[in-house]
Amino acid sequence: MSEYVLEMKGIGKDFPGVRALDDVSFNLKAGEIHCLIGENGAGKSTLIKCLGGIHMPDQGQILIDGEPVTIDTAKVSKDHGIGIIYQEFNLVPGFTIAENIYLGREYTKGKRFKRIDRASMFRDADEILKSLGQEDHLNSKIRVYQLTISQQQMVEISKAVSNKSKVIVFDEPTAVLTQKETDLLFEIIARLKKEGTGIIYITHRLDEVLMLADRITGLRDGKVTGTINNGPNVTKDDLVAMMVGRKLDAYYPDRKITPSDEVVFEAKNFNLKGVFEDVNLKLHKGEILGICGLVGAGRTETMKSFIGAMPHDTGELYVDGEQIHNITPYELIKHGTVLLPEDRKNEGLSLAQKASTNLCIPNFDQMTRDKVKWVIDHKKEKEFVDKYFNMLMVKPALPDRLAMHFSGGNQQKLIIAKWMARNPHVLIMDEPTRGIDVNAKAEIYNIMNDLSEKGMSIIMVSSEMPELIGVCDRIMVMYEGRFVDEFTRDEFDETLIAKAQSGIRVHAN
Amino acid sequence: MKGKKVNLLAWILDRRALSLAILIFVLAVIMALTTDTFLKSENLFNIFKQATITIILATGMTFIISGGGIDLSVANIMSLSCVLTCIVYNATHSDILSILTGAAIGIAAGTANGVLATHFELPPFIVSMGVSNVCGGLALVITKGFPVLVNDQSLMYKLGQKSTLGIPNLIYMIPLFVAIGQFVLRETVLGSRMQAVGGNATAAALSGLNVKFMKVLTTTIGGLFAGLSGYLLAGRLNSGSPSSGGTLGMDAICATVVGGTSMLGGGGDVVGSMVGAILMQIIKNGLTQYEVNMYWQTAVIGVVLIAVCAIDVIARKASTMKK
Repeated sequence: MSEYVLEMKGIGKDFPGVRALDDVSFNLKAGEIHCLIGENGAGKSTLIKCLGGIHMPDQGQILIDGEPVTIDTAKVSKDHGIGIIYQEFNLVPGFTIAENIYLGREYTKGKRFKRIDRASMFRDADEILKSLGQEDHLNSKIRVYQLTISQQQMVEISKAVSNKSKVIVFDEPTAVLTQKETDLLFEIIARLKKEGTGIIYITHRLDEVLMLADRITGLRDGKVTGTINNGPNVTKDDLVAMMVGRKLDAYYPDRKITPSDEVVFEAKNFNLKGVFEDVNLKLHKGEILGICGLVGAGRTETMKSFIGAMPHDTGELYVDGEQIHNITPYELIKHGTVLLPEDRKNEGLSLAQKASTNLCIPNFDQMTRDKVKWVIDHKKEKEFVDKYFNMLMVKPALPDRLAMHFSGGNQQKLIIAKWMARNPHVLIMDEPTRGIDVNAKAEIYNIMNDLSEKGMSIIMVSSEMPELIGVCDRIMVMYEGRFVDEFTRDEFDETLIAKAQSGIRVHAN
Repeated sequence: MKGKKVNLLAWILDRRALSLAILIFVLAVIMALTTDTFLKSENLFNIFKQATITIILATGMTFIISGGGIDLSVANIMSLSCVLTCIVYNATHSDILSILTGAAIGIAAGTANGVLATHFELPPFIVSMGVSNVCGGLALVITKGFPVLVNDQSLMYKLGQKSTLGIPNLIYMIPLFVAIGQFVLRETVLGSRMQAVGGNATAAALSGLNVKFMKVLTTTIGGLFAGLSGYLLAGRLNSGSPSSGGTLGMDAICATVVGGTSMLGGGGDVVGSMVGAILMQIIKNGLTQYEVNMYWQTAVIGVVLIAVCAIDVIARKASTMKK
């Protein structure tokens, strides 16, 4: 019998343009909680998906109880006793708790006609809920759509337990839970640990790591930065050091200008209950303002509510000193403020339409016939498309191609291009470089720099700290729905900012 | 107190068939009291005879919709089956061969729907529209547009036109098909898995289910029910008419949705679909009793469909808001 219930040795995984995992080794003992930490995009999720049979590693070996195994489907992963609770739950809403727990391994009765044996499923599912201390709150006959998020998570845990999992992986389990629900979850994790289940726990919350972990492994850029034993002398600083420390690459443009003091965009006391609170933000002319924070900090929601794509409870918005009373995307576009959404493929572009059509959608008023204002002049349309294709050097220069056939970087350029024609002076870019390759990133940075030199003001939301530090004049840090700290360019320090986004304030307020 | 209210609402929502049955009962009582003709056995038999084909189609449709799909082709699959079962009977005088023909046509067309939609990743809406036109066209080509007559010695004639113990034979088909459908959908592992795929395909795949196979299976079953209903329809009409399907496919979708099967997949209920079809037939019948212009029937059914769905959405929203 091996010392470890799970060993991953030298795991490597390549995606087009990215080495997601590079020689990652990781192991887990029975009855141990092993925390996995790292910034967004460090490779934690990829590693877990290799374990869950969603990705196949390109290199390396996985051993369960010392036996090498090949995990090529979700089913094989389960059969080896691995239970994964993903951030996105995988439940059938119309099914009962019991039917969800036993999906794919239903109980049957009867000889000639194999019938589903619901009575036994309910009985055993109730037994599992009881073993998790849930018998007073949950009944296995309840349908999943009637459950809260926390209860749905409990169903996922029950699924893993019912499968006699030796290893249970929790991927950011507390991101969606209240404090009370979190306490309950920790109780259950302690229970599982006591029964000898090995637990892999992924989180951004360093408090949780220090509280729960027996051992901690850091990942950065797909590589392991180290594995340490948890103990009283391990501090949050040690954890932050394991997560950050990338070298700043040389492809960021030189900032030649200093933004003026003129405020072009201001949000005062923006609130949306349970999502963001007391959001105050000033953006200056010619400034690139970075917004950083962990996934779930409320960045995207805040940006969307600025332009009226999401509601807010209270708050005032000023563009060029003028208060906007009716905050809708239409009104904000009229006032020269546009959002380039995080979800490029669904919210930014109409993928199944031509690139040219995408450029024209918000701009048809600029290509109508001189005399008949409601008829499109196709000559003007073509000139328009060519002009903006050239301006942003979209490649390939084939406007008739469907938007879905452009690379991520060029799709982002198309989105920028379609708004350039509206002559905006405030650009809110949410994760503008997510999922695009290094060279295209550099191009986007240069475009942003050029635009700001021409007087445009930009808010850039990003999960990648090096790019924020490389591109921005100022960085504001969001933590659990609030801006907790702010750094000017001369104060930029990856470690300090990383601390701030885990809730450890550097500046006094 | 609040909690109790929510549970009651959820309890009723979970039992659409029951709430519709209550509605049918109320409507029936009103009509029995206000008209002379409603309670006559002839009228009641008529309601159920007219509902039979819709119910059998809706039984198959319940598999398809709860499996996360949609099928616009069942009416024309039925037309083609209606024609060919008659032709085969006339050529062979074999009831068995005739029934098998209907089943085979249904299985073939249904499987084509499923395979095209899953393996070539075409939208089920478009695929089934295509299959529908192919089947409807073939039925017309084969018959040159004229009905195929059958003699009164055939089993289909007996099923469609005769009675047993004073009840038309066709009505016996309702419990038979609904029971089989409900059993397969709710009590077998396959049925349960088809619904899991409809409810959340990712969850189903992560649980090791073969999502594509399950999806094809739903359309194959839907096709089989359509093929068999073609045989029964031929008996009821006493001929194989190439345009007999008409709007019955839409009625089947309507009955299924009214009966509580969600268009988003998962949670299918064949009994609910049956009750939905009977409700629509009773409303149509009632409008005739009150001598409302026949052309209004279609419009009223449309309003019922929208109203039932709207009540469902509003009620569900209210029940989740309170949590």
